[in-house]
Amino acid sequence: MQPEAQSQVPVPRRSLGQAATTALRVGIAALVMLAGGIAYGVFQYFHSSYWTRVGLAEDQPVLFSHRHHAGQLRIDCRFCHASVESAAFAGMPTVATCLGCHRQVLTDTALLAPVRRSAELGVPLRWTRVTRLPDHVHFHHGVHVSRGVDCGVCHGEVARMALTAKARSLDMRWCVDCHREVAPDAGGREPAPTPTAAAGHLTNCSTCHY
Amino acid sequence: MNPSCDPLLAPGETLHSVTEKIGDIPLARAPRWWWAGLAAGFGGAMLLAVSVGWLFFRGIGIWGNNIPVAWGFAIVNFVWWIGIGHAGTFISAILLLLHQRWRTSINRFTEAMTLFAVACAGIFPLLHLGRPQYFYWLLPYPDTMGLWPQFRSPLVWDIFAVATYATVSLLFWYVGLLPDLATLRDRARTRGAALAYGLLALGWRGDARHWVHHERLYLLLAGLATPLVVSVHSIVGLDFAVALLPGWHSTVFPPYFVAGAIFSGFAMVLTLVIPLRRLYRLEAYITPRHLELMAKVLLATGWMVAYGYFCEFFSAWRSGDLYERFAAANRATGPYAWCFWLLLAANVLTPQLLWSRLCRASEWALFAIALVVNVGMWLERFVIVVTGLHRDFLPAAWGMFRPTFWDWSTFAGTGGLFLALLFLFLRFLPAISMSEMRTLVVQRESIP
Amino acid sequence: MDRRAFLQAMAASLALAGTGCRGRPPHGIISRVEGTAAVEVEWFATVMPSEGYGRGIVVRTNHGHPTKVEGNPDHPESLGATDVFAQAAILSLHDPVRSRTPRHAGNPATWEQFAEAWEIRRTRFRTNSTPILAILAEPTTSPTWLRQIHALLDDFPSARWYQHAPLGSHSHRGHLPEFDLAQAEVILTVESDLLYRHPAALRHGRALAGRRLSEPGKPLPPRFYAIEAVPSVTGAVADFRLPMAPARLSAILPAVDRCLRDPAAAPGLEPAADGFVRDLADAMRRARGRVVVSAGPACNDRIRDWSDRLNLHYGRDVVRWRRDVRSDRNPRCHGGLADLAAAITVGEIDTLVVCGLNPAYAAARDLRYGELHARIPFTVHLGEHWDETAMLSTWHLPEAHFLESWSDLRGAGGIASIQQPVRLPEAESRNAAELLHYLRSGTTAGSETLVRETWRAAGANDEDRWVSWLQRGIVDEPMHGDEFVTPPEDGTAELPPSVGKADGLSALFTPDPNVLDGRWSANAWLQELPKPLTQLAWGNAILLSPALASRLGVQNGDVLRCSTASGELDAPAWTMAGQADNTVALSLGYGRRSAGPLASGLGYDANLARSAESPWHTAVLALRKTGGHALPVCAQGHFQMDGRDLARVLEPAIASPALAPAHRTSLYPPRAGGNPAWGMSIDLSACLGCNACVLACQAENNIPVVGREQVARGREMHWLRIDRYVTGDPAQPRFVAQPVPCMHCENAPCEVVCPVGATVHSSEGLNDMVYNRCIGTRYCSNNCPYKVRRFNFLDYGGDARAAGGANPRVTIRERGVMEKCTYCVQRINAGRIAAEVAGRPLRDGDVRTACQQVCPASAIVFGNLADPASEVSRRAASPTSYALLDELNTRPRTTYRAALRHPPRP
Repeated sequence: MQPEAQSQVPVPRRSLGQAATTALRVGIAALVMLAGGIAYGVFQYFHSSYWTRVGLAEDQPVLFSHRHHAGQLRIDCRFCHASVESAAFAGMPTVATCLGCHRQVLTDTALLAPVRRSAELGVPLRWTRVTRLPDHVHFHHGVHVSRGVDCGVCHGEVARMALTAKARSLDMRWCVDCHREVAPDAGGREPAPTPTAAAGHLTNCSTCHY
Repeated sequence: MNPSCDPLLAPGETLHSVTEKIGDIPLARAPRWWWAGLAAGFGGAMLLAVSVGWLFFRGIGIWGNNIPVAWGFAIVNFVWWIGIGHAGTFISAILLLLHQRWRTSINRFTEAMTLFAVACAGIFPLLHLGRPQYFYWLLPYPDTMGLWPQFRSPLVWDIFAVATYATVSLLFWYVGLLPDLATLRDRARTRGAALAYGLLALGWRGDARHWVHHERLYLLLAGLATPLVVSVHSIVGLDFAVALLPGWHSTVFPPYFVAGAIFSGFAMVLTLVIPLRRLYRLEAYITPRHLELMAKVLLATGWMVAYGYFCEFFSAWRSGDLYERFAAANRATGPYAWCFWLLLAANVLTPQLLWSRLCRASEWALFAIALVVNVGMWLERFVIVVTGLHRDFLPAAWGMFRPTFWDWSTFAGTGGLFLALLFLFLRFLPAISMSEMRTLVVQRESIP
Repeated sequence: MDRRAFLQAMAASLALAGTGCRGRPPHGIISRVEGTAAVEVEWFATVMPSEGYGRGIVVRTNHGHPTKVEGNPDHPESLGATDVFAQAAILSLHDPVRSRTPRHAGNPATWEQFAEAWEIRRTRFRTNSTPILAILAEPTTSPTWLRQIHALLDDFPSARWYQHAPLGSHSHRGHLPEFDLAQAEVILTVESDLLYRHPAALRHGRALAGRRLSEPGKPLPPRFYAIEAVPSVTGAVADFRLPMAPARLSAILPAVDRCLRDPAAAPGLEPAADGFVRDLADAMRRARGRVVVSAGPACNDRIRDWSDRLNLHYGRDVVRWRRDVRSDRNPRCHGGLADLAAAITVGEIDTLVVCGLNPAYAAARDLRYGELHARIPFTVHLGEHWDETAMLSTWHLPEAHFLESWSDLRGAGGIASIQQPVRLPEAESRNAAELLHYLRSGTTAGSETLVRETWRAAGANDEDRWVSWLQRGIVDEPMHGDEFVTPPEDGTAELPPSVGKADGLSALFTPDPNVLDGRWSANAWLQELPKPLTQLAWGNAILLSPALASRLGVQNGDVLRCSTASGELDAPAWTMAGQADNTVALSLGYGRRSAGPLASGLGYDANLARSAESPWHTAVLALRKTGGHALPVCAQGHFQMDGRDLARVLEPAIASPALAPAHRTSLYPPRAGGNPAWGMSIDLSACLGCNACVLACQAENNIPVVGREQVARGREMHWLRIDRYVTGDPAQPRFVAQPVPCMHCENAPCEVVCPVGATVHSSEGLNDMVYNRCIGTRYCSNNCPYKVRRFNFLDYGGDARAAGGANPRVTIRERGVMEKCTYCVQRINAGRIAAEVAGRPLRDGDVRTACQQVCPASAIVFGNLADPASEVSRRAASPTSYALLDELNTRPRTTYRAALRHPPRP
């Protein structure tokens, strides 16, 4: 061994002490909690109405009140949404349908000005969609109604809504839960047994996605 | 002289000189060649960035993949990198448990290499997705669709296997680093460096309590890591074995993938270590003895791989199955036969040179052989993936695979990323474990 | 509110109905001003022109958008089936590059400007007998059009009517032989694509298939002989096929006749042919009275006389000669293209109106038609595209698509149908009848008025009657009784000098199976559709026999220079098994100079080497390699089965139960089949390989077109492909076509490897593919032994989104997702929903897949395997039924029935 090597071992400089260590450990703990917090936040966001739009009324060209028409006047849903029992699309009333009544009542309220204008100019009335499914979901109103699913199951208490708002998140789990139990008490009505087959197909992916 | 009885540590090395030589590398200024190396690596990483950008913009179609060859370079590269990522943990963990003292001077370095290789590998399964933005669907989490991953798929097993392997390797490496980080902290010449190393050192002050915990944890991690070395590449092998394709559907895959992994891993270690020990003047610590031992491992695993190839053909023939036999024949005589014969030359013939002591003793020979094996192992994965897919059951659906520029650029890019990470590691962390080298010094001194 | 506004309005509601497949719809939901609730699906019966003959079709519109064409079951020329062209028509309707505006000397103009230009000439034509006004058009069966041309000829003393049939005519001496294949015992085709390119092809296909569908205890199918130089769809399904160069063709039928008269007589041809002819004659003698002989348009008059004669003597019970309903031999017609060319050369023609044709491209180049056309002072071109002729014309006028205008057509069988539009034209365009009316009267009349006028006598004024015609797609008019004639016996004269030296190399000019003479060039579906037998796409090649190729040392893709008396051309070579030695086949319809961005510059132009007097074959002066190499794009990897038992061929006599799949044991519990348990059976002996199912699938399922480069890379997207295998001696091989959709395996290998469960098994045995869950690992495709899965490597769906006519009931797939045959699950769901809303159970036949519905041969049957009474169960139970790659134990729901082909007599 070379003795001189031994002699020149340097004195270690002042190292970072206990405090640094503690600070570091606290920091690590903080980081972990932050990560967890973010994850929780994200989860909550996608279940909040900011994301699902549940209960948020959209702006509409006409301040139409379902509460008044469906609730107080007790107009049947099918009067305006005519194809709901047969077609995929529930159907929207034509402006002519609106004016059918409003030629007699409330003929000149400012409220209905857009409707009258659309009739005069022959320009369709464009509402903001309240209940929207993604393009890759194939939903058919007719089959649900004919199976005895009440409108309210998906659209909520429309007859109580002054301004129409989305009532359910309509995310996939929500749909599937219903399909899983073949909706025995949907809308309180007992569904007729499906004539085509056992209801097994209701939980197939290809029932809605194709 | 006979390298097999070389010492693992050159004579004249003292506790101090070890610390000096190794510890000074990160603390001193970087040599010019280092900047050159980093620049090369960085350039490659940029190429990767461009390739990935274009990939995300245009889609998988920029590669050569098609139907029937739906998997191409992405999977080939993935398996290749993962394979390379095996030597590290094998050396650190298994050799540690086997009390192989020669591991000490190379384990730190190979562990780092492992991490970077796994990082490169990890990129590919993500890139090769048609819709990478949804990669997180592979993870089990409570989603609004009420869906979970499909756990029968080997790809899901991959996620867990690779992720676990990466995590454990990282911990193992980091825990090993602690004492050295402390040393660097204490020897740091600037306040900044001291602070940085100090934070990483987690307050290591080298008292007995620390050492006891450290040793225990290190052994535990070694125990944990050991099965992983086997599991990861077995599961990667299952990606193929589970499929019913002729040429893929074979039980030989898991073991022979593991052997191949260690084979390619050691090849890569040699390719990197041989130049580095010269550049950093570390011949004292990475002695001819080390190279010799690694060469032997290379030869042994080489034979295991060769046995794997043989098994494939044997079972194809023995099965008597029309499709299996055709697949085997197609490998040897089909349009991609040249890859197959090239890989046999590289992985089976070349390593045989290592029988000769001269080859094992000569750095240059070893370096060349290691390089060839690296190429050979990449070709092996190419042959498995592409020739397995391009001609399967229905002749009408047969096809060919032609790689595009972007296939190559993505692969080269990950090479660049790997280099860049490696050079950064060499610059800022001790490439050899000082603490463990010191034990070597002590052990030697204790021998009368 | 007009229809277009109505369509716009409906576009939004599509999305609300959850069927929004045109990307993001305009955000909002529409209250239309008036009208009734939208009908989601409507069907319109109309008729499609095919070389002037009519074929009944019905068009489906979703929310007013025409989206799909099906055959009209009530129409005798369709019987519910269609050919590829009817399927492709819907794409042409939505083709954005279709001509939309009149052009004067190439510059956009208006109809008003044309009116001005025409008015001057019109007055002149009314009075003077010179200069000459010439009308050039393809022969047609349309009563309205004929009424217009006659009126015009009456009014304009100077007018002449020229006709040109670029694809030739199946009628001979003014009569069209009508075959009853359902009764025939021996069928012989001579250069005749009886089942693919014939006005009655669909009828023939259905009849032949009816005989070939293997049922226990059924009489044996007819013995089917084909003599042709280049394998055609028809030749490929024949029991016996004799490759023969056109030059030798004239000798065949006389030889047959000799052998018929005297069984001992030697045919006196080459050995292969001798055996064939003896066997044929023998069969004909036995089946006397039930023999059908058909000679195609490419045969010279002598051969066709001979075929008439043989039919007369041996086909009494199964052949009739119908007076051709097409106007080829109309007495008032002044001549053909050659006559027109002559008239132009001498400068007689002052004004030329070209209706629908494109002679500047499609005419044999030695006619120099282009130059002649340009010489005429005033030329008018009415066409759907801005094509070669349009470019040379003074005026180009956009022609209305047949789905956008009113007309009428007769089928080959003489039955008339009204052609009604299924939507408003996107631009102001007119059809030929409208134009003729305008040229004559100078006043515009809607096409509907013209058609109604034509049919007033038959009762078109009676609104109910009119509507019933439209609804059924057939006009019920009294037959005159003089439809049928007997041909004069003049086919027995001495043999004509054969065209070209018998031993010399001859070139055949064949209309491309997909784009014909180029009239379908602009249709992307037909361009990408792999051509029957060659499987080439997006181009054409010089086809030659393997023997010739090896003699010349030619590899596929080597560029050859082929020169004939008329000219020379360079094109890549492609060896075609079963092609007559010493022949090269040049296919028409490519090398277009102006066919829109899609087809311009694709392939080579065969007309360069074609001569007007012998348009179908000519002698080759020289054929040599240029040294260039350009591999044509082929969609199939390999044409041999390499000893694998994939497409099975059996002798009709045998119905061996040994073929029934052995029940495989498995470690896994068997899957519950479910009820209904959907399944499909494909009968290979009925299948003609006509590709109709492939395009039907493409149209129904919004399958994108990927283009030439992508197909070359092996990324075509067809969910249903037709694998074509060649077995036996490459000189005289046997062809088998095997349609391969998704097998919907009960033990589906794709399902276990998908990491996210994007492809899963449904309770009814469907192998569901959930696009919106797929992340694109492509593992499922690797693990599919049938390789029926298709991947969106790039944003292929984008075009489909942009173009109209997408089927809103099928999601358009995003980039990076896997897709495949779904058994038309949208139809299954629609059928079930309809049944549930009506409160009745699903019946067999309620759900028909697109491929099944369109198949002329009803080779494909789909239905409920759990119901033993269903058609599919019956077929799947037959002894010739088998599962593809059964040994893998994937338990496919799609099964095949072996092809039945007569063995050659020992």
